[in-house]
Amino acid sequence: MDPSQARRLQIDRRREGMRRQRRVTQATAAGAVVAAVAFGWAFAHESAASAGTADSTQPSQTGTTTGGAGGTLRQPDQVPAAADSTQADIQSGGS
Amino acid sequence: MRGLAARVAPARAAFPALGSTAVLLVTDERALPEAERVLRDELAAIDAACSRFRPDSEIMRLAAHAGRAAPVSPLLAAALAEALRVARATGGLVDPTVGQSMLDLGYDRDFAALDRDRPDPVHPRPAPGWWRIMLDAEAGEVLVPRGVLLDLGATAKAYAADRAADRIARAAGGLGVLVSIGGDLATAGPSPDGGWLVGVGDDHRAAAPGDPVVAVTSGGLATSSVTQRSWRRAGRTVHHIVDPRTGDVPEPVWRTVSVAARSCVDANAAATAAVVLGRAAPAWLAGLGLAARLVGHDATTVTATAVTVAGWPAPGGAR
Repeated sequence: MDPSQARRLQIDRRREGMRRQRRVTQATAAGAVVAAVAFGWAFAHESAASAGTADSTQPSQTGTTTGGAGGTLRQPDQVPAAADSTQADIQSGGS
Repeated sequence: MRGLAARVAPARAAFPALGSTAVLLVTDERALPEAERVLRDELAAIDAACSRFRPDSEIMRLAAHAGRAAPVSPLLAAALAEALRVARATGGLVDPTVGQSMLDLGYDRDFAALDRDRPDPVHPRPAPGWWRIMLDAEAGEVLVPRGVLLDLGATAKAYAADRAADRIARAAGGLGVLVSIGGDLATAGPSPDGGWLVGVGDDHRAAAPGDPVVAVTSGGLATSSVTQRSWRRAGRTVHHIVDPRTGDVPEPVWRTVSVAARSCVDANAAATAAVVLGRAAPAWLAGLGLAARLVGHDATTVTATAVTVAGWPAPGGAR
């Protein structure tokens, strides 16, 4: 191998090393993006296990998968009227 | 008012239930025995599912599954769903996770067996929060976090009243039904002429002079009062209505609140929330369009001023 061939070989190896380093950098960046998306998805979907202990009074947006619907107390069809009689059928009071 | 002169008083049955009194009224006396059987059946089922004072109740056995999903019966799932619905609707003023707060205040057994004067101090803690209960009613599963004690309390009684009244009325077409559990009442079917005549006061067991009478033709009517189920703890009077935000009894603004709503559960939740909410309660109830009567107190006397909101009959008609 003459000196010029040896120099070209050295340059080729250096370029190959730089390409490999670039691929590693790109793969790392892509992996970071995938990991960030995965973490975001995971934390946006609270699991049942995250409700494992009681240590906070801050409400979350989840709570129930069913049974939480209907966010108001409903009015009666007809409100109570003043009675003509003072003799009640029944008493409502504290118990 | 229709035909009041010819009004026939409804047939009546009453018996002890759920640490209180159950009263059943029906518009046809012949239907009373079967209606009472259905009511007793419903109350027994609710007690077995929801009682905080029975170690063998389904809700107490959930403690063995703390922090993990546990299977629940359709009845307990439905009762929990109702409790969570009203917790959401009241912004957490009525919260089923106040069980530990109740224990801390000393309400740790059936009220009849309670030590009414304990000297040891109380260190109230806020309720963990209803939003931590993960319920899948369709799958029949619930996850109660570790450290959370459930207390469905009056919500379960009101739910039992709603269920029983509806079931009795459906079984006997055309029958008017009123079910009261501890003074919180649900109606179903047609009301008697002139409506169900309901006295409203501090105590469901007996009317006091001046208690008004109102005519109810549909839905539910419930009363929450701090004059009942109260006891002494560390030198002060406490009672069974807890502010979930503090874990302590609420500021003494309202002595007794009565509310009419579509169901007994909703009426009970609104009445209890109003006691907890204090001074802001009349505006809150009016905003919801719920007819209500609020009686204030100054913590030591029974002198009170009644406030009525959202269509509740003006004072008058008192006995």
